[in-house]
Amino acid sequence: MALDPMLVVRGLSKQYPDGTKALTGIDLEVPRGQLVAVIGLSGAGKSTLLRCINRLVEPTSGQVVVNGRDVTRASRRELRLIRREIGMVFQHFNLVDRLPVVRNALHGRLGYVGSLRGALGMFPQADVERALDVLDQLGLGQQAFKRCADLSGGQKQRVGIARALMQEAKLILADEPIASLDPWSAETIMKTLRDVAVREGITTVVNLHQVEFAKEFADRVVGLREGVIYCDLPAESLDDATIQELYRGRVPEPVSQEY
Amino acid sequence: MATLRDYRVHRRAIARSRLVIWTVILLAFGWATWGTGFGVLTFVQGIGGSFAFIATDLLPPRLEAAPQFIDDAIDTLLMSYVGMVMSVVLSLPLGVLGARNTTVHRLLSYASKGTVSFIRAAPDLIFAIFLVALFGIGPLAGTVAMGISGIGILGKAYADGIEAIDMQQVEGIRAAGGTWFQVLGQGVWPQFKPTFITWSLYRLDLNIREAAVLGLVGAGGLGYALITEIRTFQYRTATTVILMIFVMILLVEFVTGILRRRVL
Repeated sequence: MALDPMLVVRGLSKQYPDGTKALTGIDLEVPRGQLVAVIGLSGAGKSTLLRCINRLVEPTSGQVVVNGRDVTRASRRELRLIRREIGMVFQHFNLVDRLPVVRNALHGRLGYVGSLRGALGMFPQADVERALDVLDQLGLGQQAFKRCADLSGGQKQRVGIARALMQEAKLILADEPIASLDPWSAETIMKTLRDVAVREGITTVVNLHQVEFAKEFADRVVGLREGVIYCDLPAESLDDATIQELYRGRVPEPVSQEY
Repeated sequence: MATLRDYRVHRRAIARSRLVIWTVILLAFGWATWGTGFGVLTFVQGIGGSFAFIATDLLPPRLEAAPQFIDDAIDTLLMSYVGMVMSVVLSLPLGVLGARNTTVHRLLSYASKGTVSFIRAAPDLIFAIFLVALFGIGPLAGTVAMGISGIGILGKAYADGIEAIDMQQVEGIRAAGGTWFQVLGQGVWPQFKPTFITWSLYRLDLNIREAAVLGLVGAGGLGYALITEIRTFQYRTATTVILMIFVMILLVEFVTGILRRRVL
């Protein structure tokens, strides 16, 4: 059973109410422990794909199976139980700015504590100890009691990863985790994601803008173009011709020289 | 491509709509002045009379009467506070259900916002008049009147405040598998708290003022003391009560101001 894939996507399509076809017939299978980078232009459907996996965006048709459980057919309760095993890391971090760092990390435990206790922010001592430990491992030991609003972008993103780790996530979905960061922080975050994936055996799907980062850190690269999978290969076989073809159509139009 | 001609057409359209707006404003003002019989002359004449009344009948205030109204002042304070707490407790669920981003169902949002608008449409004096008939003269009627009419303001302020929060932060909680309550408590509340405190304390400020007016219809507190003194032509004592209301409003504003700064 441990050998069945962590994530299976079958015939996934999403059409937004305004008529935009974001995804058409996506088929994807991700084995356990793999780090997959999804690349493509803005608007290619990367973000929609990721959000359909945990149903932050409701798919129009198709099926998503995470760790053997059908996400697309899950009831609200089942969906919460599935979501607590899927850590999500966001471009804009999506941390609660006014709350301290440690509480944001503890939010990863919400799926495991009672609804009311969680709502009041009361977490078991063991969870708090682990949160402090995880933050320390990610180099945020000194920041634990600061408000998230006071952190730098790179630090915030590490809190985001801490939250995912607190969930004991089996799958991490990272939506442009480094798009809002300086190159140095970006490098750190990608290394952290890589380390976490290797050490804890967490399956990871990362949306990326930067092809270089995809080649450097991912096992496998999936290229999306206009809502369909254009290429799907091991990171080392990704060549320049494929990349150029994938990003074709957004080359600036030649400026007319006529007056 | 847009041409200079298009630009002129566009400018002319703007000029036309401005003309219409200003015409409507001026016509409405003219009509209103005529309708209310507002005239500069009558206004100035009235000022003279008022000053004479203030100088001869209201002044100087009979300050030695102040101690006998201390109880009424405390009544007003308590009425305002209890009224605020009542509004807050009733407005919170209406605000949460009314806000588009936290409601359980769109229809419930309309229902909740509708209820709040309906309450807001009626001045609290109207509630007070009904409640005095129901509970009799005294602070209870005034308290409940403020409690209900506060929903009209707080229910809307809360819903607007919740709708203004950053939903990305909420999405983070939802993605981690949070229940509706957890999303509210950990994602919505921390962001909404400053708005909540500001508006709730503002309502306390308003209640102190309202209490003075509501007293006029028999709803207890300093306002009731004021109307009693006026009815018995004890104008100098009435002035004392007015001064006390004034001081209390300033005092409460001062204290809520400090509270707000401490908490935010």
